[in-house]
Amino acid sequence: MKMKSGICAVSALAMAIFAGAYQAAAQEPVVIGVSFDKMESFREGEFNAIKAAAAAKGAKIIFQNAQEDAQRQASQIESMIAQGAKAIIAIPWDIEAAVNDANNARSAGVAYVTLDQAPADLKAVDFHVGGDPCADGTAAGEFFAKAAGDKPYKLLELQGGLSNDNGIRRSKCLDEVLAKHSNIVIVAQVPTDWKPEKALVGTENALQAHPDLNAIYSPWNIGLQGVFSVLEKAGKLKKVGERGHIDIVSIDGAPTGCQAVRDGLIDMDLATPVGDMAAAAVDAALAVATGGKPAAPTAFLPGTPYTPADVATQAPKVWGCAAG
Amino acid sequence: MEKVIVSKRPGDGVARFFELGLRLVAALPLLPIVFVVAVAMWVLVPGFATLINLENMARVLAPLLVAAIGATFVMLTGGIDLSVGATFGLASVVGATVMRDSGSVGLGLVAGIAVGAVVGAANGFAVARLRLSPFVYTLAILLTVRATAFLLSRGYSVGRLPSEATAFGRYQIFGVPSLLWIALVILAIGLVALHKTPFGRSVYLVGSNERAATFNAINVNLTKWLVYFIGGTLAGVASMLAVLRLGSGAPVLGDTILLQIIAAVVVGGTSVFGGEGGLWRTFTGVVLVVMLEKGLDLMGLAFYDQAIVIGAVILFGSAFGVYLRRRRNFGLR
Repeated sequence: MKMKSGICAVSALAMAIFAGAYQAAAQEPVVIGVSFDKMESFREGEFNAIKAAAAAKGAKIIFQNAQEDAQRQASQIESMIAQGAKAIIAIPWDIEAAVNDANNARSAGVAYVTLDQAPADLKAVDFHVGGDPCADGTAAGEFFAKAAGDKPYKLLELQGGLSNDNGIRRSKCLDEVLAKHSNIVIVAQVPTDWKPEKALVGTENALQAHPDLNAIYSPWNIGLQGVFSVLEKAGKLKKVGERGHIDIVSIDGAPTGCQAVRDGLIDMDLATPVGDMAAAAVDAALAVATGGKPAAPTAFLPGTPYTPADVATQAPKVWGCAAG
Repeated sequence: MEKVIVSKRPGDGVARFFELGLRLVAALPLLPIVFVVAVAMWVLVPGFATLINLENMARVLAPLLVAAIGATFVMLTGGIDLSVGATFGLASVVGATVMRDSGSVGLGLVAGIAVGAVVGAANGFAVARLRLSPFVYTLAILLTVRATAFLLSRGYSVGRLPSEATAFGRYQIFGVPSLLWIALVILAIGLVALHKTPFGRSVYLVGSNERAATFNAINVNLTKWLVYFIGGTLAGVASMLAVLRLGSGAPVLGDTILLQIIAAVVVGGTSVFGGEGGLWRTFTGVVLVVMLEKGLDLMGLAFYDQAIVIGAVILFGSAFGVYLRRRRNFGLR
């Protein structure tokens, strides 16, 4: 009898411990590893948006910056998995290496979501959300086509990093639109690897060779720093509508871009919907980590165009205007 | 039969152990630092001593160790090869392209390693035969080779490799990643070449005193050519290990490795002036660099904080090595 009651007591204790442990596990926040390719103002905006989205969902994040190194990014993702991350949200530095990173994570039972930069093979990841680089490139091309009208029009095209999707498609889709307009000549295509100093040198060279340059396409806001520096030096940094103004279109909606639009220095910026992207990435990561599925395997969100004429009304939709 | 009684004074064993330790530290001045950092990471960083992190570190260590072995040969002769990172990038592009287009991992590996060998052979010829300054010449080659990698790949990374490539990168033998096994085999071959062959003796002698080496009938030019050839070839091998791990090659893949290599070799205790150092020292240097990077990653430090810590440890480690060398052998004979 005594033995029976002893067994019962031990069983009850074990059940209580198990129930407690289960409850604790259930309450424990899901850990999401966030792996960025680099840090600059746009990435800071994205990181803040992810932090806010994760906090809203009660998830914990571990952050690592690969600083433009595919080997470091692979290693950091492995470290985050070792630290107990149940999902990874990555902005890949190398879109091909990202496929392998995704395979490794998923084979370890960890959800893998890409943000902003699509991997070479979208099927390799659980979910991808990004801007729509093609829609943005097309919108920029259409703006230039409208600005050119039937006149001869010389355009400098700065390109981003050609090892990632945004860099490739922001350029390709712009070129496809411009190819339909024989009066528009792209005087130079400058691969910048997303580096402002290369944008500066490219603009300087193009302006020397073509002092009658009509337009500049900067597919990311940070490139504007180099562009402005060269134009100012050459006495060509004029506001929109002023005589001698060079048409400029950029993409991102970062604080730099918003300020440039407010100052009337660029004609149009396309603001990437950073908040929506981050929220979608966190939702998908949590869904997969807890055994569910995202509603769709990909989401491409086109940028919001805003100009000096409507910046005041559009500002609430532009993350960089709010941050600035 | 008379019994021989060996009298032992109390403390003899301890003294011998202590002397052995001193000899080991004299040979590998970075060892105490590696030990301290390992213990500190073990205790302070959650997740550092886990199996998954150790495997991860092994995979990170492999390409760096192989490239650093090549660089050690070059530096032991008093030379330097600044093109190693660019060669790493070009070899990765060529190797990955051949793998992808031919569907053969083996062919891709041969192509990537051959790229390294060709660059190394050209470097050796320029330094040994044409007597160009290694610093200036390999800087020029760095730019040329990097540009070639960009031209060939048009700046894009090269992926979609046969699945066997990445499968091999993840494969383990006796629980140790296959990539580390390759690196350890290369380390063993390097040690034999450096310490058990006439070539190894010529490397040290050329680095210590080139004129004396010539008087000793050592073919200085051939020795110099060989070390650059080895350096380039091993940069190609290291690059292939990275490709197998990542499943892609890219012209920018070697951008950060040059500084890691120099840091590992120099902090390990190989002299930049040549003639002193060795592969075990480089091994300790590589282990320290990788441990710090991974440990600080796990601690969540940003890359700039990591750079400060790694810089400080390298500075302290190098200074400690110099201090030990000045008190060479602690009076040991």
